[in-house]
Amino acid sequence: MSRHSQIRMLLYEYLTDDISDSDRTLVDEHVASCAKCREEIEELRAAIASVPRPQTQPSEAQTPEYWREFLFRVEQEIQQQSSQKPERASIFDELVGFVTFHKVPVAAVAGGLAVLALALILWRTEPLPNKTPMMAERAETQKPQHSSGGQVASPEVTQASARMGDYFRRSRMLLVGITNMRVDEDDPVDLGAERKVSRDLIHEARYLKQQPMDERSAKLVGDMEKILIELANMKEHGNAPNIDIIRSGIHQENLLFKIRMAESLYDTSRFQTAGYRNPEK
Amino acid sequence: MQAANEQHLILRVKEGSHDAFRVLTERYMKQAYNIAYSFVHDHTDAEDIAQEAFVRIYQSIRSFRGEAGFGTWMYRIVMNLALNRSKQRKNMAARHVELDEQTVGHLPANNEQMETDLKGHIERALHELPTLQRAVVILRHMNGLSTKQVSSILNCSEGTVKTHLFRGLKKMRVSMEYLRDELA
Repeated sequence: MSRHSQIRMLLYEYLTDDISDSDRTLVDEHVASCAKCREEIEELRAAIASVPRPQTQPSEAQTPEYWREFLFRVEQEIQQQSSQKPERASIFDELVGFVTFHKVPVAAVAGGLAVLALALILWRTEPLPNKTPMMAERAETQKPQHSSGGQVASPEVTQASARMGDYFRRSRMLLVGITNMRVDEDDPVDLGAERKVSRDLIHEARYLKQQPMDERSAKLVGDMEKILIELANMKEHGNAPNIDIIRSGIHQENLLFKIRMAESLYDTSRFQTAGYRNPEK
Repeated sequence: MQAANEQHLILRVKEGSHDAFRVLTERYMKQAYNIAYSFVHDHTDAEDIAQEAFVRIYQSIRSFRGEAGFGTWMYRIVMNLALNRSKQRKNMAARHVELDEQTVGHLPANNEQMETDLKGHIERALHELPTLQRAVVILRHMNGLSTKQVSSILNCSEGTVKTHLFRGLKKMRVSMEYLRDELA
């Protein structure tokens, strides 16, 4: 590379003061005796000045609530797209991903892949072992009679799932309301409606805990119960510090995110609800 | 330390951890939004692009090898989405300059009007550049990414980045002088 080219490569950093001392000296010494490079510097200096960098970033115009919503929409979109993918394809993806990521020699696993794939397929068609023995026994007693050979959800299981989805939806609405509530230090807030909803949800949770559900949902119902009891026991007119305690609990346990994920799994529109009556209506 | 922490996060995302993906998204979402906005100059589009980028990142995280950093990979995805969106809106040059309500919420004083005009001129001048020069000016000059990182994003040499930067800035100067004269 010629000296001119070498100096040229440094000019932008030189003009924006983003250059090392040694490189700055190099440029200074060269341009002192090179009219062409002096001209180049002036041309670039004028170009940089005519295109000022933004004083603030566009993201600074958005509120913290905007970014929480941004995160939620990303998570929601991922969840929706994941629920549309066929299960069989994901097993293959997992195998390919595992082999590729860990750089396992192809020759070493070629023979084992077929056996592994067969084992995985057989394993995935067995019921997932994520229920307690009591739940598994209940699920077993609730298993429907197969008439046509295909699996059909019993009306009781469908109703429980619908109520689970409803529980999560109502919990989310309650927690969003608490999170967004405006509270003044000196002005107590009327929490009558929130206390009533909390008591309803506690009552509903007692029913849901008797139903078969996955471990994650069971834990979430348990975590929610703590917040709901706290809320139900608050005075009719709550003050800022008490509401902040509730909000802190919601935030620490990441409850809103977990509830949204659980809610989308128990979307009531997917179920036949001929026999289900919403207790609110 | 940050790089090691990030590698650990990525590994957990590959294992299916939503929490880890949430941390990564929180770390990079504003930068993604800023880059997208630099290309499309529209808040709604920038939001769509940034969100779409993270969805795609999640879906293809298993193919991420880590040869370039996660940030580089993310910027590349955002940039490609933004360039596609720009192509779809080819009438940008014919657009009227719009007041940005978030920064100018009242009747503008003289200096605010000038700032809005300048913003519009920059936008138009950028869109007159060839794609590669535009990308380099946006990433290197407007967003302050290093030459090395821009070269990784664009998959070209650092020398090429600098050449495109010089040419892009000089062309923009000419365009903006023309716009100022024509629209004054």
